[in-house]
Amino acid sequence: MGGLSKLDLAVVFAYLAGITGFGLYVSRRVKDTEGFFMGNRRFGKSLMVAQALTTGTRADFAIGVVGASYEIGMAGIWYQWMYIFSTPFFWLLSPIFRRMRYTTTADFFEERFSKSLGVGYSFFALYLFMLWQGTIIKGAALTIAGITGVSETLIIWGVTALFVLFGVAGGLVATVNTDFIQGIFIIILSFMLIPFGLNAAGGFSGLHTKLDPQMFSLLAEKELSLFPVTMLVISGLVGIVAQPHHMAVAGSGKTEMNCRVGWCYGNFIKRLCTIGWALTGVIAAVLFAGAYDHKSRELVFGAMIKQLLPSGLIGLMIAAIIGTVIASCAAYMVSGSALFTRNLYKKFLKPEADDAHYLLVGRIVSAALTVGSLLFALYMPSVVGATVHFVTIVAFVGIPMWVGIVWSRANSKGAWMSVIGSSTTFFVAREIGWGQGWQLLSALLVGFTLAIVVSLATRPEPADRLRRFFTLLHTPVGEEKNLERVELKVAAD
Amino acid sequence: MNVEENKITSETQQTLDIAPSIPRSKLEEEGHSLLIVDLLRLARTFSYRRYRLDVIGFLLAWLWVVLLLALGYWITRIGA
Repeated sequence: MGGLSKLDLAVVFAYLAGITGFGLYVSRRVKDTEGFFMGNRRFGKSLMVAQALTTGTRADFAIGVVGASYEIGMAGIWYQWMYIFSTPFFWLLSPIFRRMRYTTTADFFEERFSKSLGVGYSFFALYLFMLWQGTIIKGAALTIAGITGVSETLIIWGVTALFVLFGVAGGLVATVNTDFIQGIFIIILSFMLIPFGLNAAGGFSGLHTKLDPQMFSLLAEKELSLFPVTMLVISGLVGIVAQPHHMAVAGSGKTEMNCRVGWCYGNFIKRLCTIGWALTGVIAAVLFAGAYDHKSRELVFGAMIKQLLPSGLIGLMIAAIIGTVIASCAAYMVSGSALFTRNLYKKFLKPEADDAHYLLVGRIVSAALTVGSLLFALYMPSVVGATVHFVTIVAFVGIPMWVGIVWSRANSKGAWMSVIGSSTTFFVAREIGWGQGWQLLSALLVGFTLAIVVSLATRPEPADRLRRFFTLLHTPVGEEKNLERVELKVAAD
Repeated sequence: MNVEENKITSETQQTLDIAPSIPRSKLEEEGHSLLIVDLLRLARTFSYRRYRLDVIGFLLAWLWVVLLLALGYWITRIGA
């Protein structure tokens, strides 16, 4: 196959056969929708760490950061480190997600605000899932095609078939149980190129001799200066709560502590990996000086693999990339199908079917979402562009979520106006030529202001709804008896 | 103030009283209370004992952030 040796091919096929077989084996244990979507909330700390690392770490992230660092230096790290200051908040947020005891983030919007907001969020989340999967598939296919010479389209279809088979069969149980293996592969992917690259570039001192000192600054003059980075960090924190897969990532642990440790420290491992990606990009700036421009810079990652790694390790790297695609896409696909099945299909199309029916619908929707993501992949301008687009739009939905958790007076009208106002402000600011930082700042200010002002000017949510929601938040996992006492119907953990 | 405004004002007060009126569970009193959920009432409710898990974990997490930033900076200085 293309430029791959027999050893590389053997490594790739052994990996793929093992991972697919495992997914199919685990699928025998998935009997109902709770197991498919939330793994029956039984995951321990280590599985939660692995899940947070693998669902939050994708090959396209590495490709984007390596490409950006190749052009602007270590500052390219901020395309992923924009979440580093949000990470401590994961410690505080994860028990909130767990205590809500919801399956999807749309459940939050529906239970806290209104049915219309739940439906609106469901459609938004489905869009995000398709966007993400499209980005992941595209990024991986670009790199693997660059290494092997196999057609990009063929790789797209092959990788997609694998994660569909894997995710549709085994749901969240399958994805999380393989996350240990995928996690190891992600770390391998992050650091494997560095020793080979440093050797070829003349070590660290070789890098400093051959590159402009600006390439070693964590703040770049162009593309990522202090103000836009600050605003990306703030947007990242605001939007983190509204990322649709986080209900499963942060809420599927057996205990609150498992959720805290898993979400927070799984992400810290990812931040560590990000340092490796940025350094790889800086090494590439020496080895491939002038070979790629702004538009083609994301190809440099594949070029490094091809040029630097010996036979066998190239296969391992390809397996690592495919591993992250399978882990992330399967998790997104499962979360997306949970959203559709529970928040749209069950509520509006067929409320009275048995669980087996919903499980089947969930699996069909998983596959359908993937087709949508393939279409997205074709129109993606760049991996980094898609990342920034995502961070921006998810923040607009994060505003009402933060306000709704913190402030009982927030209501559905305020939430709707906040989303509409912030997104409109952002797009207007962009059209009139404001810089990225100002676009984000103005949108966030308008969003928070509207959420507060409109809520205060209109009637609050019904007291029963609010009491139910805040009672959940004040009932730690393990004290569900208190919920029965106030006659709250919550799925038993 | 018209009738509608009066209604909103009265309902607002009732709404704001909902969260504080929920009795704290045993675990919440022993360190499992959540800072973000109680954010707007922290001036009245905060005690280390009540928010122990949040406080310790949050501070430790910031320590990790500082360590990672230091590691990132240190790597840019190697060989300079």
